[in-house]
Amino acid sequence: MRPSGRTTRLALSGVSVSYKSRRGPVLALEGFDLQVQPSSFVSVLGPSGCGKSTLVKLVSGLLRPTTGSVTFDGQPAAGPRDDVGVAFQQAALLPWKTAIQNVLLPLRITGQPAREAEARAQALLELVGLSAFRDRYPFELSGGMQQRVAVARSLIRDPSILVMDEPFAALDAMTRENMMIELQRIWQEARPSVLFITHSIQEAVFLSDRVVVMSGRPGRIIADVAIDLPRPRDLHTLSEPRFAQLTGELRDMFQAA
Amino acid sequence: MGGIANLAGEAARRLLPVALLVGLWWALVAGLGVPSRLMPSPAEVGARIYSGLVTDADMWPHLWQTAQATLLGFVLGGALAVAVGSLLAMNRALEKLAYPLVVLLQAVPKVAIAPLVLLWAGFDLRSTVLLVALICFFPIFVGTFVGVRAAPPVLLDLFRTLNAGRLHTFLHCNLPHAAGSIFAGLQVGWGFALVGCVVMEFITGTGGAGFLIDNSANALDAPTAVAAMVLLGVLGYVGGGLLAAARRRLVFWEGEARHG
Repeated sequence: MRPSGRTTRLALSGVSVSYKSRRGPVLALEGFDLQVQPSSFVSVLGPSGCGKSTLVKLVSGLLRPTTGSVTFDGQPAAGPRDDVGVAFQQAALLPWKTAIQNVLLPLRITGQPAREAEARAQALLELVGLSAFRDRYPFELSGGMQQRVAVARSLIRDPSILVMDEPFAALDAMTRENMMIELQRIWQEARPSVLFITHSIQEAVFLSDRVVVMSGRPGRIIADVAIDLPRPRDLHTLSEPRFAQLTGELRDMFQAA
Repeated sequence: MGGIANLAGEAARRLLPVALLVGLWWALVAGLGVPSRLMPSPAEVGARIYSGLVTDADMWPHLWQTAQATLLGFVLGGALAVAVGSLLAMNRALEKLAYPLVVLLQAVPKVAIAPLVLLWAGFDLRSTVLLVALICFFPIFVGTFVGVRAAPPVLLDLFRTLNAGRLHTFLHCNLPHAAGSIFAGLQVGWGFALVGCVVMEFITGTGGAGFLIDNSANALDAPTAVAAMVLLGVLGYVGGGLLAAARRRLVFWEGEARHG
């Protein structure tokens, strides 16, 4: 889908972020190094309050590092980028717009031709399995459907990097498992690099090529585990011994964090 | 369920309180033997309304004048309130400068400046429109300010990641998000607007439902005064109903169970 040769790689080097709070300065991230290869799926696993949201804000361009650098293809980041798609913890849909209008929002803001864009939005809704719901409003959709619309929206500008901030946190267990499988399929079709923030070990192992474990605040990386489970993975993967072994290892590291 | 049966049921539900009120009014006037020059019976008032609207049709010009002045002032004050409320909500520096000023001006009862408004704008429609605009400004201003400010941070973050400009963010995020709150301000403001109009008509005495009440009360013509009051109530009710209907239609996502 993406023009070949445009392979953005994300690198965070020696990043620290501190900000002032009412109780004095807070160090959210410290000495943080992370590289994301083109088209790879990397999950960041960490306890709550470890600076995961700070990481999302850094990569989506909402925040600048206090020290260190964030680079895309070796170029330092300067604010939000067109080739980075963001999916937030909440679906963050505009309640007064239909599913397809919500998917089209990023293109409307940049003022791209409507006709082409609509065909693309329709294709993305198909990708997330919601083509029949294109003209429904968010309040007519279930939580999982809303989240899928948000994923489609994050893909509309054909991002080379997709940042997802616990996008399934608000969903029930059954919906989450379905969403994991859906996301894997979407990723295999669109092939962006994905930075997936989560506190679910199962989600991280199921989806990722690599799982990075963060310590408590100030957040830094304490482990980087390659996930060698064959793809495509399905619900049976969840009961394989290798899956249990990997989740077990990660759980131990997570406890230590 | 048949549509007509539903409609009849709905009409009955709405008219029941009115019927009760009229019944109570009738019972009190008849039971206590209140003289007609102090408080006429519903029948007398009904007859006066009928003559005022149909046989003599002498009330139409007054009602029209009141409706016109109230509507013009409401539109003027409302547009100003939405504009100022939006500007202050979107700009912190402007807010610090002007918000205390707005609150300070609000502390002065608007009715108190009616004579001054008369001095500025003269004995015609303009002064009534101006007072109406001033008096309905504040609730609409507050509704707008609060609504624009209340846009969810995650939506604002989304617009920032999309590199949307301030105007774009305002038009596509803050303003539609504020629609419900603006309507709440408009609904309160409409009631205020009628008060402003009637007060000004009391003072100027150049026509309108307020003038009709004042003038006929002075002439000991209570049925006309009460008839004008009832018609003013109808005007307020119709305006409020239209606003509520517009709100349901335009802010259709309001009150729905799930939000994005």
